[in-house]
Amino acid sequence: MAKKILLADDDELLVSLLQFRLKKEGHEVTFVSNGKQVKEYLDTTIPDVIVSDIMMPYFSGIELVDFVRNDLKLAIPIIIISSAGNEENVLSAFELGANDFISKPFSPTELLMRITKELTK
Amino acid sequence: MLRTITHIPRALITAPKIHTDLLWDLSLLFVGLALLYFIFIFYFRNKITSKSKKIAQKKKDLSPIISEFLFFEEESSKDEKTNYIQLKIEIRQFLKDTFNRRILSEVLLDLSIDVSGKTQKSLFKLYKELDLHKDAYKKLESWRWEIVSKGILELTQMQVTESYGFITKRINDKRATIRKQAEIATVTLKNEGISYFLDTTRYKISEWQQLKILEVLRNKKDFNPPKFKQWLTSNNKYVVLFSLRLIKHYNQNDSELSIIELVKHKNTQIKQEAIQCIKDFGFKNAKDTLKLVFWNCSTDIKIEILSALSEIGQEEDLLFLNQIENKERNFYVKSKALSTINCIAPETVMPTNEIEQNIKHNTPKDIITPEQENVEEKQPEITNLENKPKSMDDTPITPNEIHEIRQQELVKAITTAEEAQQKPIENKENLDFLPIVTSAQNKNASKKPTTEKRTEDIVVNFQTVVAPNINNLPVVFSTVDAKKINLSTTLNLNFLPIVTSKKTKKITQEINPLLLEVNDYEVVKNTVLDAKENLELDFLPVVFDEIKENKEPNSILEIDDAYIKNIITEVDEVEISNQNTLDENQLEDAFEIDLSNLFFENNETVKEPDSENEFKIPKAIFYNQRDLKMLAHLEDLNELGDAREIPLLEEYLKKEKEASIRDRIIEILEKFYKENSITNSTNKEVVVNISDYSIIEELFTNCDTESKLILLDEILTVSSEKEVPFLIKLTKDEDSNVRKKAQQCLEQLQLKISTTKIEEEISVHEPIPLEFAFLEDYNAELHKNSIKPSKITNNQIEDGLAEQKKEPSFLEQFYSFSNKLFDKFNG
Repeated sequence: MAKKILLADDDELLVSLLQFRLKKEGHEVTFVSNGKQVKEYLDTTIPDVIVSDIMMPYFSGIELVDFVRNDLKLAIPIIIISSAGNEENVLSAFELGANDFISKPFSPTELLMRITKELTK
Repeated sequence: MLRTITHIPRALITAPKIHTDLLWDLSLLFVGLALLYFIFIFYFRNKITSKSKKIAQKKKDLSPIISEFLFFEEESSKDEKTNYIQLKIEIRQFLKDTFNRRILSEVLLDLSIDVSGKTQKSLFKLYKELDLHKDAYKKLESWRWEIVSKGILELTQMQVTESYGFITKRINDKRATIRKQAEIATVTLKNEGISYFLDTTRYKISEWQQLKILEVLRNKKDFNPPKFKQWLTSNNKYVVLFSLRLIKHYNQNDSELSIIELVKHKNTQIKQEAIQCIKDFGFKNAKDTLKLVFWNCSTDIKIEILSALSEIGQEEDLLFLNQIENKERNFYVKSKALSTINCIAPETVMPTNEIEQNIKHNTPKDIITPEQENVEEKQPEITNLENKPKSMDDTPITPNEIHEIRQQELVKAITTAEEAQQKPIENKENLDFLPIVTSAQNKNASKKPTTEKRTEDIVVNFQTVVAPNINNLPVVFSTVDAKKINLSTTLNLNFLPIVTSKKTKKITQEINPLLLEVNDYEVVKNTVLDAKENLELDFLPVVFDEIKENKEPNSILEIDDAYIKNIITEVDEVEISNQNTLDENQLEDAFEIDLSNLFFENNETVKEPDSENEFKIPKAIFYNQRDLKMLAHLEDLNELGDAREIPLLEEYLKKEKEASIRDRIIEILEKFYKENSITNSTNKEVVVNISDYSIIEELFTNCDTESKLILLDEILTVSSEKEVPFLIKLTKDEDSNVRKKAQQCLEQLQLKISTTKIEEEISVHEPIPLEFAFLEDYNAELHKNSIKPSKITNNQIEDGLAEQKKEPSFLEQFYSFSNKLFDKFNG
């Protein structure tokens, strides 16, 4: 069944790749490249899962988690993408309510499996 | 008046007379230049922006195509496959532009950082398939260092292992950036890269570079680190330093001696690293070297040495540490020495600074503390107060007294340790259950087996024999089997006197661990102990204090019967508990053991070569010039020749009259015959394999459509009947172009085969005349084409020869075909 996935990352190439992979699995994928766009999107739509990079312009991944959990009071699964060696930020994201994280470089298939796992919970 | 005298107005600066028009001109010029400057900036800024926009757009356009390639699966639907082929054609068109190629390379490089697993592998494959690595190769040829460096980085990042050879050449490049990039690439691309790098590098390996290389090695999958000890002898001190760090990282503790030797290195870093290795690996043999170099070292090294001693030091090192404490002026070294003493022997050094010497207890009289109670109780038991630590209530202790006490403690500790070492085992209890205890000198044996053989290290630890009711009873021991000599364990035999034969020569070669394995002992009742009898020493680990014999063995392994024959040892003391003890002299006699009987049954002694047994030296054979040349020639043939030399050698054999040369020829012939028989058998196997092998089919699996079409064009010229099934298979190919082409080829090939068969049938009836029998090569060629040579007419042979001149042979055709393919692949 098609699920709404919000991909928030400023790396267009990677996002495009992930978008292709997730669409291939039948999901409805929306891509935003910065924090502002994330806010705008969340004002209108509630996705089934959010996949967000930890480093984004205007609005970091941690702030996004904080915004979703505390301001919007939503329990949507959030998966954080982080660079290697950024474990401290990942911990902060977990403290704020992130559900999972994946570290770069990662296999798109692995991300897909994590998304599926979160969706089936 | 006075005013006019004291103040004369004078113009200090005279303004030049410039025409106003010139000023205007100059102003206009500068305004113009400013405008030009702004236009220039504006233009280039716009150009750069538009270019980056163009690149971003191109990347955006490319990303779905790349995604399509990366996630394409063989099991996809027909539409997907068609789309995939279409995209491949598009991308080939797209890549004809150099700018586009550059962008695609950038995209793939960017993606390779972010993705892993199967996707990453597909990415590397795509990079090579699109020939983007060739652009990187071109970059390597550039004279600009930044471009070369970028090329190396690209090839490394995209795992182009074929570029390894090109990159390794740049390990010693004069330009540091290229060199460092090449070093990283060499280590990354192949597992053996680190060995090559350490072997060849002549330049400094910076700390940062070492960290990067280590990071690369750590992230390498299936990496089996080489033995880094082989680079401890390198002329490049940075290689030595890096090797030491790698040894430490990979815990390669099999280079103890080299590491200990490096403590004496002039370079402080190497010295420091070697000491750290010693500390980490616990090389106790390094203590002497550490002590030796200590006094000439810098403070840092001294602290490092003390730190190592705190790990590997023993009580015997306390004296040295005490010397440091007394002589060293540096506060840090002194403090470290004290802490090291306390590490080795805890609580040896007590705190002395700012300790209150005269403390009066002002506790109320009615309160009795538990401590006081204990003191009161224990006081009568204390007999020797001199050696006890002084209590706080005693008279104040001066620093000198503290020092004296410390010295006494140290001396006591050392004496105790020495006594413990020297003290013989006086255990009167039954020790049967105990394992054989080896010497303390061999504590490190478990870490690294000693290779040096030293006579003085041969040590025996005799266990006390405790035999109940042994009055007048001989202790009979089974014969020690010399074959059971265990070379891996050392027993202390220092205390044993060695009885040797008169004619002895001192062994100069060092002999190490020698152990006579003890099996058991037997006590035989009611038998008189006879000192003359051969005693059997199965129960005893026997080791020698000094071994003398008639000849000098090269190593312990060369000890033979004659060598051990004269070794006689004595047991100093056999203590027998329970009632009776043997007379000392009797015991000495009893335990005077002739090891010649113990070790080997062979009682032969080493005889001096007498006149009869002298070796007969054969008379010299003098060859003449011709024979010498012949022999040299034969040796050359033997070294360099093979079975093809057999006819020549047989010819030589027929002609040769000199017996020794004939013998040599026969020897070589025999060797070649053997080789020939082996080669023939293997050749047969190869032939069998080749007959089923289709190169075309294999090439097809690894090439794209365009290449496939070229291959099909060429298939007619080189193929035979065996390609027919493959062509039939191709007629069902997914690609319509390949399908059509395969169909055409199949038809043409079938036509060709049928023509050949007809020719064959024609040629069957006429036999080949005898005068053409010598045309062996031609026959062979005909044989390949399935035509029987014995049945060919003269005219046909002439025609055939003419045809052979005109048409290229099969191999020629194949080579030209492969050249064409090579040209195609290389553009």
